Formats: sequence, C-alpha cells, structure tokens
Amino acid sequence: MKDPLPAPLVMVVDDDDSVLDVLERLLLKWGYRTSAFRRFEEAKAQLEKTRPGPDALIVDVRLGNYNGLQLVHLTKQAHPETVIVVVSGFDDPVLRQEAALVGAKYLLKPRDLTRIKDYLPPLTAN
Amino acid sequence: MSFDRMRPAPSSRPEVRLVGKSKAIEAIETDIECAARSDAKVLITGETGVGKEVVARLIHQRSQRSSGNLITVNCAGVPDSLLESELFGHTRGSFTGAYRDKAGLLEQAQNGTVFLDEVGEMSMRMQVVLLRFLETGEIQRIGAARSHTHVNVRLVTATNRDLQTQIASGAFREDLYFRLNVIRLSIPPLRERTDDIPLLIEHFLETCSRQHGVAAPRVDSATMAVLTAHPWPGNVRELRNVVERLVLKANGQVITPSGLPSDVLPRAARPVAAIATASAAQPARRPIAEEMVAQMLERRETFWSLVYPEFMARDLTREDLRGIVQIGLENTSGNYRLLTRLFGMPDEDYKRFLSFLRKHECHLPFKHYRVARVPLNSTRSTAAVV
Repeated sequence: MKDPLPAPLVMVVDDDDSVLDVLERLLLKWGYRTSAFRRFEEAKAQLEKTRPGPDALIVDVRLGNYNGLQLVHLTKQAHPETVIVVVSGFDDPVLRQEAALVGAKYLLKPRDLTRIKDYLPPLTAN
Repeated sequence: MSFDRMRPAPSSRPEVRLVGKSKAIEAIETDIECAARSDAKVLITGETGVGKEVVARLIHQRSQRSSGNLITVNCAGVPDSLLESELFGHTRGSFTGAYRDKAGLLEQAQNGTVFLDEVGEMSMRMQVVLLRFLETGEIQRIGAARSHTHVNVRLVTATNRDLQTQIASGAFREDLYFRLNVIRLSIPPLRERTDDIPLLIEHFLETCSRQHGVAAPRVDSATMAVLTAHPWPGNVRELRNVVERLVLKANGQVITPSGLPSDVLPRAARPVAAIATASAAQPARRPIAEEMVAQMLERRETFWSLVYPEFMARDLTREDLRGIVQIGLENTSGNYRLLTRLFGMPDEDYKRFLSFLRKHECHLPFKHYRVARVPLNSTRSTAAVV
C-alpha cells in the first residue's frame, strides 16, 4: 500500500507574534503543515536554500524594514508553483496591485484571516 | 548643481559592473538579478559612495526595460517647485520663464526606469505628489487643468538616510516608504568588505590611467596594506578619488606609502605637521579641503562656485565639507559670519550657508574654535591664514 501524501506545507511570515500564532493554529486545525518565521532575513534564507519550496506562502507586507512583497518576488522566481497569499493590516491600492501583478492574493487582517483557506492548495482526502 | 544630473543616460554609456568577490558582493548580485527579473519598485540603501547609482544602473540594464531610458534625478538640494516641474513637466505660462510646454522626466522615461536618488531628502509636499503619482501613474504638468498622460515607468529609489528614523520623526511618510520599498537592496560599506579593496584599487588604477592617458602605476604591498586597512568613510567613491589622484601624481612609477595622502595613512604614520594641526578630538585635515580653502582665500573661487557644485555632484564627501568648514573656523576663531566672507560669499548668504551646512550635517560647533589666537573681529586674521 502506498504512503498517503503529506499535507501541504504552508510557510507563514509575520513579525506579529499574535498573528503568527493565530495563523499557525488555524492551519494546523485545518490539517496543513506549517513553518513559521518572524524575520524577513530568516524567511529569505529558507526560501533560497530549500528545494522544493513550500506549497503555499502567507506573508505580511510589513516585516520590520522590509516589505513582504520582496519574498513574494523571490518565491515566484525560485518556486513558481507556490501559492502566495499576502496579508496586510492596511488596504493600499498600490501594494494590492503589486501583489496582483505577480499573481498573489491580497487579504486584510484580521478580517480575512479565516478566509485564507479558500486560497490555499486543497488538502487531500482524509 | 543637481540640475545637470537630471538627464537621460546616454545610450553609448559603457556597461557598468560591480567589482569584488566578497560574500557581500555575491549577495548583492543575487538581489540585483531578482530585482531585474521583476518589475517591482526598488529601494537601494547604503552609506554615501557605496555605489547605489551603479546598482540602479545594473538593475535597469538587466531588466526588460533596458531598451528604454534610465533617467536619474537627484532629489537633494532641489527646491520643490523645480523638482516637480522637472519630474512632471509644465505648460506654457504656468510660471515666469515657462515659455513653452515642457515634458517632464517621467514622460521621457516612458517604458524605462526612473532613478530617484536621495529620496529621503524629499519634502513632505513632494512625497504627497509622488504618492499620488504611484497610485494613478498619471502625469499632470504644472499649470495643466487635468492629467495629461499615463506613463509606464519603473521607479528605483535610493537613500543614505535611515528612513525608519525619518518615519519615526515624521519627516518621511510610512505609506510612501512601503510603496517604494517593495524590493530592498542594502549595500554594505566598504569597510565591511575589505577583501574587495585590492580588486577595486587595481580596477581604478587601470580605468583612471586609461581615462587620463597616463601609464598605470603599480602599488607596492605595503601601500596596499595601508589602503586596505583604511576605514574609507566615503566608501568606493573616496577610494576612486584617492586612486585617481595617485595615478596622476605617480606618472607610472611605483606608489609607496610615503606617496599616500596623509588622511589615508594610519594615525601613527602621519607626518608630524599634519597631526600637530589637528587636536585629538578633531579629524585630520584633508588635502582636498586645504586646497579648496586655499583657492577661496586667494579669491579665485567662492564657496558656491567651487565647493557647492562638487559636493552636490558628490565628488566631495561630508567629511571633506566638514574639513573645509573646520579649516575655515580655525582661521576665523569660530566666527561663521566671518567664515562666510572668507569663502567669498556676500553677507546676505550667511543664513543660506548655515542652513546648507545644517541640512547636510556639516555645521560644526564653533565653541571649540573660540579659543581665539586673534581678535574675533580682526579682518587681518583672514588674510594671513592657510
């Protein structure tokens, strides 16, 4: 009998501990595997060295001095298959458009957090 | 002045490249590739002279927009109205001297890249104008009733300021920061990549000697060690300026440590006279500063005609400018008003001169120099100096 496929891996990057905690709990509850990062540099290093990349990336726009969209561009180039969701505490039309240009969803937190599942790769049966 | 920096890059401009093999340079190369493959806005940060414009040029050259223009605009020291007119253009009659319609630089960069240097110096009003442009992509020329056209340009910006600090103090808009800073490229100072210094020296020895049509001199190992150990506050630009002077002076001969400018030498090895003139708390005098002060004293040049354009073109570092002010203060016993005259400026320029120094953090405290060797109001002191 074949081993069942592992659950999709979702990488979460947010410098706000409470948001990171909520997202991880939600994802685990839904049945995903997670890897969480608080700092831009750590997430960047992980994305650059890991092959294959995560199945999905959830990233905050404001990551200290950096913009989470930089990780989006990096992921698009290194791991084109990865599904990307950008979350932000503020609705900026320019950044929303930037995200759309690289095919990433732009959701507002905390309002849209529970809807994230709609945009993530589907879980296999069971 | 900054105006001549606002120009389309000539298409014949030679290819630029980064010189170095350090880990830092490798990381920057990777980031440049990432930035060039995307079309996102880029913010380049780093100290003065690290090569932010070179990186901007590389991003443009390697991007899909390389067939378009790369327009460089230096936002420092340009009044709002002029910057807005240069970027967005104006209509005929919109202000005195606007004799005809003029397209702005953003229009000239259609399908290309606009590089806004020193973006941290932009006024709040200009930040709002830029914020609006980023949202709509529309150009409204000064004096025009409505938007004139829609442009497709990529924005690359650079600053040597800590924008986070400026945001905290209310001098820079946070929303603009996140719009400009989609991809951030941070260039380390030269002192953090000392492995690259010998390579850069070899590179500048060759390019400068070719440029000036003289034989390339050789640098002996002791000199190379001194140059590698120097902290280079003005970074690669300062290094290039020093090498260029060495090339012209050496005329094809071997360069030894004794041929180096005193400010590059380790403190212990500096000539006694050079140390004697600088108190322990003061930086050593810089030959370029002394030369410029001498020219102003001999009334051949004024501060505005000699120092200002060089500084705005960034051929002089802040340290150089501080050196010039320092020498001036030493010779006027800390009297800035006298210093204004000494540097060939009319008395009305006193406030303008001081605000220029403050803006660029080159306004030295005068108290130290008030230990007067000559009376403060003595004009004779100005004639006998340096």
